[in-house]
Amino acid sequence: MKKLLEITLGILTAIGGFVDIGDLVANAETGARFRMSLAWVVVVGVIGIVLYAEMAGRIATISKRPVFDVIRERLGPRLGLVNLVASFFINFLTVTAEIAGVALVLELASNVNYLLWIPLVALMVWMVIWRVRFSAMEKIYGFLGLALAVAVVAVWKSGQTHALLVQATHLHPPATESWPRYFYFAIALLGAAMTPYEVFFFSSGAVEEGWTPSDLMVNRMNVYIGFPLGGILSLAIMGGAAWLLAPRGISVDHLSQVALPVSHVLGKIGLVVFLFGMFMAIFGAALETALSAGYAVGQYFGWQWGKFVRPVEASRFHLVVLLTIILAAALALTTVDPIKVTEYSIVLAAAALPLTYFPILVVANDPDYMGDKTNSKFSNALAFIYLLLLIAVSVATIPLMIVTKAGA
Amino acid sequence: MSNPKGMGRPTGPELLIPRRRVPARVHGYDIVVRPLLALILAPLLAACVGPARWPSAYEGKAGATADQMVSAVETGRLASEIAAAKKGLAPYLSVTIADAEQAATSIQGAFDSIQPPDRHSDALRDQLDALLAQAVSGLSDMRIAARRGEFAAVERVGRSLRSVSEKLDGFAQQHA
Repeated sequence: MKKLLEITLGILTAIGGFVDIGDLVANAETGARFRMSLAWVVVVGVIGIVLYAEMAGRIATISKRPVFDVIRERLGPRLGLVNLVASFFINFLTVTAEIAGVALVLELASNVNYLLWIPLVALMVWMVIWRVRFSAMEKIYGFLGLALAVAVVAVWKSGQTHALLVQATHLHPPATESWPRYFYFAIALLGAAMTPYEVFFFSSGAVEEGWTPSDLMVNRMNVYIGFPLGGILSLAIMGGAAWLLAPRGISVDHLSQVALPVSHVLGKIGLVVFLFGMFMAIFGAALETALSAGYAVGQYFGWQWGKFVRPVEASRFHLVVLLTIILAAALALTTVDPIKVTEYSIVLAAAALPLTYFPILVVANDPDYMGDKTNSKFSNALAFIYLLLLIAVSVATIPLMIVTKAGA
Repeated sequence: MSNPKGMGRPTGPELLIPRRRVPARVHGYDIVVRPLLALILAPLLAACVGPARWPSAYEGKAGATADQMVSAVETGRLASEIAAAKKGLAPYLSVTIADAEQAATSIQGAFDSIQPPDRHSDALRDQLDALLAQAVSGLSDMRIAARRGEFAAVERVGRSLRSVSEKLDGFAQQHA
């Protein structure tokens, strides 16, 4: 019974924790510009993150070593450093976007400029990381992020579900958009769904919580059920934008526009629940990305890391987390557009995906690490196809970014 | 969960698997600095606004500007409809309208900074500028009313912006 409860809670947490500022912006923007013609990318992204997050969780559980530690070992220190620098840079942009995103949600609820909220949000993020236990921290924000499910209710109540499903079968850009832009936004969606910090955090979390082989079932349930249901939240946000914003020619440039469909259909109560869900989901992601900065650096350099030891024993880890939060808040305070930072972070994350996922695939097949828990043939075949896709995406990202002027 | 003390440290006797080194012969500058430069420079390159050296390029930019302004105006109008139906919270509507106004001001500024290449482009600029000014002015009025909590006025301005939105849309389609 206790195990069942743990699995249920894990699934609910995975659903709520799946969505962050990148998913909110990418899905709403894509829905508004391409309607549901890119819904298939969310499905592709969810399958990809399910596949590789399960592997990362399994590696961490069996070998007791998280992803970045393994990446450094498999790639060697120099290539590992490339990975660290690229991942840290992209993760830093994501921390900036998440902190600014929380501040933007507070602005929507209070009408107080988001720049005034940023120092407070940064302080809150650091305080929670410093004071709250890992398991509580992970579950509270993921679980409360489930409030975003109100977006699914809004789409259902709009009566447009069938029309949206029909739109999702049109696998080409609308007449007003070009193919390069279509593929650029496909990459953005894939980057949002498969952001590398998710596996850094997931695998480090497995070590933080001391998973044993008996927890592999929890790992699988979280990933196999929780993430796909989280993907439905993403599709609902895309759907809301597709039926309400797209016909009016509205493109999403601000977080405020993401909530318009929910407010339009469900009124004030729906809006309050949606804003609450956005706050919890983005705040949870801010915690995860800030911690991921410390995980990546600590694991690369072989420092003591994690919240499972007293801060004095992992002082360098906590210093990296603190400095990342301070610098991210400082960048956000320069008045750089948080939505643009979000867009660039997810697209650049897509470009760097093979750096993260290739070593995971290699290690998941290595019996020295995994014993008899290596990948099945089916997993390997699927993972290899995904790796080829990610390499193609990686090669195409920067040229498409320049050709389309970042999707403008 | 039990305290997994010591499990996360990748060194020491508790490791199940020993570390292995993979030799790397590529120069550090090549593999670290260049990819990072690419990551930083690509967004900057993508964000550049190019000049319009030919009338056709200017016309294309004018059409795209009108299209972007439709988005800002329609956001304001949608917020005004939500306000009229009493389905939105005052702070949320106020911020949404202010965001739309900010976007509109930015779009107008970006278009005005483009040098028209010939006399025909001057006429196009004047025509679009008038519409852009109406849109910005309407959204400013809407933002002022929303911040004062006068949502009847927000609704009224929203209705008046409909014709501006239609003209902008027509302009965008004509000069796409």
